[in-house]
Amino acid sequence: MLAPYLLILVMFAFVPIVMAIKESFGPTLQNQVGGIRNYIVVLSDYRFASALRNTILYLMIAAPILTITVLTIALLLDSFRVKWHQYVRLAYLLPGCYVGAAGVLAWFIALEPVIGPFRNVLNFFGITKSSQIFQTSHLAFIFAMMAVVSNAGGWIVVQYGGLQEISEEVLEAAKIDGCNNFQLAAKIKLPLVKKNVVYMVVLVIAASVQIFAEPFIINYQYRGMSENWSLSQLSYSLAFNEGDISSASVISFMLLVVSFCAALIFIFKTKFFDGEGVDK
Amino acid sequence: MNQLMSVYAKSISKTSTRKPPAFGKYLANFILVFIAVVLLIPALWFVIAPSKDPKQLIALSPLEFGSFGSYLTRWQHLMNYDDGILLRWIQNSLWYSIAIVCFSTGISLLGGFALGVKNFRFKRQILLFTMIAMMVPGVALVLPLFVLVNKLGLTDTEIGLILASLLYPFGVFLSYIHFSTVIPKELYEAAKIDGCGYFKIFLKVALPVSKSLVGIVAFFSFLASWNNFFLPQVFMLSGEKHPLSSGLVVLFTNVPAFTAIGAESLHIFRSEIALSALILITPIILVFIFAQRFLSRGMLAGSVKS
Repeated sequence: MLAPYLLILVMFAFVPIVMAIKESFGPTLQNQVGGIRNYIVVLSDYRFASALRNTILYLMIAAPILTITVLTIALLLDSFRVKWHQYVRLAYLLPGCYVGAAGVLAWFIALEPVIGPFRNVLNFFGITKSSQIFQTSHLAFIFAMMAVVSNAGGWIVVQYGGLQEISEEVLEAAKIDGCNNFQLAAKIKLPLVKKNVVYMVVLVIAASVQIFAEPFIINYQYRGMSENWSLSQLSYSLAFNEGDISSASVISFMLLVVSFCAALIFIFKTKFFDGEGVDK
Repeated sequence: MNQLMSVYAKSISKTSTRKPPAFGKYLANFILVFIAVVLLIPALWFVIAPSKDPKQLIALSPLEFGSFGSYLTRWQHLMNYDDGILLRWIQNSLWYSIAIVCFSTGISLLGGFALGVKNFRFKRQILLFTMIAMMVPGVALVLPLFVLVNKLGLTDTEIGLILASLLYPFGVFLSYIHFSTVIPKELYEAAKIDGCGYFKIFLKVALPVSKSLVGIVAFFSFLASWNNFFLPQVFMLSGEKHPLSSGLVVLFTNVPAFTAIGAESLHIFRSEIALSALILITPIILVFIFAQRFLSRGMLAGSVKS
């Protein structure tokens, strides 16, 4: 019964990763002999430095904003429980459903000051031309905003689910001790759902370093504005525009290592594996 | 002792006449609803925008409706693009997604059931790798998968794309949690005593009581396969094999209609692009509405335990 899954896991996770690692040591145009020098060549590529900077900047903006937004909303939903909130939660989930091409377009249009749905608000703040918004220096913020709106909903549902598992007795006891809603959230609820929060932060970081869709599509709307903006994008251009699979594999492998380490740290640091997640 | 405490707590909370925090509650609800509305507006815009021609798009207010006839005009304009290749993309998307959802859901349910119910060697190791695979984002695997599929000579084939999309560790993990915790062990024991094999237990005992699990696993699989544009973008070299997701990226990149003037000769402007995006979003929203009864109930409640 497990065989089909194991076959897929080996064929489409292990084997490709091993092949990509092997590929990353293959000969390239700049480095005919291949080997570890490929890594040095890629790391010293000027495009790598700027893509790395952009990716890190994006991560530093997106991860904290997403975390704070999700926790604030989940705690508000939990503190003031009303029946119709289930519809509000569904509304939050919806943007998570159109990610990729449609998602980028949706949040692109949200920032459009001429025809976009929020043009009155943007005009009010003196923004009447899209060039005022879409500038190279704003891209990290724009992409972070896109990530927050499309991913927040799913995480809100996860965190809210975690908050609901806190026992009423603990909350009542805290209330008797005179906790107000804010103290209850900060001192009791958050520490109790720490594991869920760490889980979210790890996954958000793992996904953020791979950012691809947003800069890739925006780059075609504004020719060249975000060319090779992120590391994944650079890897893509190396592979498919320059036909340099080996150099692309170098970047791809390094990004994979980051996500891999994040996953391992989470699994072992939070004892996710030995906790209730997996019975022995 | 604990129970005494809680009874005490309840009696206190009933008798004490604490004022409800009215202002805080209104403020919280206002913020929650405000954010929900802001998040829904762009989707609404995509529904309304194709009802207007490019001039109306600027002249009318953003959420004002144009005319129903306009949808048809936009559709005809889109059909002019590359001999109506859009229809082909829709067909491709449908059949790729159906194949991926069926296979990946089936494989996940079976795998999760085996991990949750049976005992065998290396079970912990398999679970560990499943968790790692679950946390590594799909984008990270695109290039390695391309390297593999290329070596196998399966680039630009439907089978290559579908096979490479079947890895779904999240579904396996969700099923594992479900079958090992939500369903009582006694149920399996009873079936075993009655002489059922594992496969029969899966089909006759476990599956019939796990409809919402099947719903959630299939829903996320659909979402991932329908939206995925990076993998097909890389795998599919010929235009007519693209699914809608990556096909539209091709359209957006060939016709940067949102920023530039658009494609004059094809009449593809922003209203047309909006319609194409609406076509991409609509099935997801329909499936979402259908699946929401699974989602609003504790989605992931079992998978991420605090």
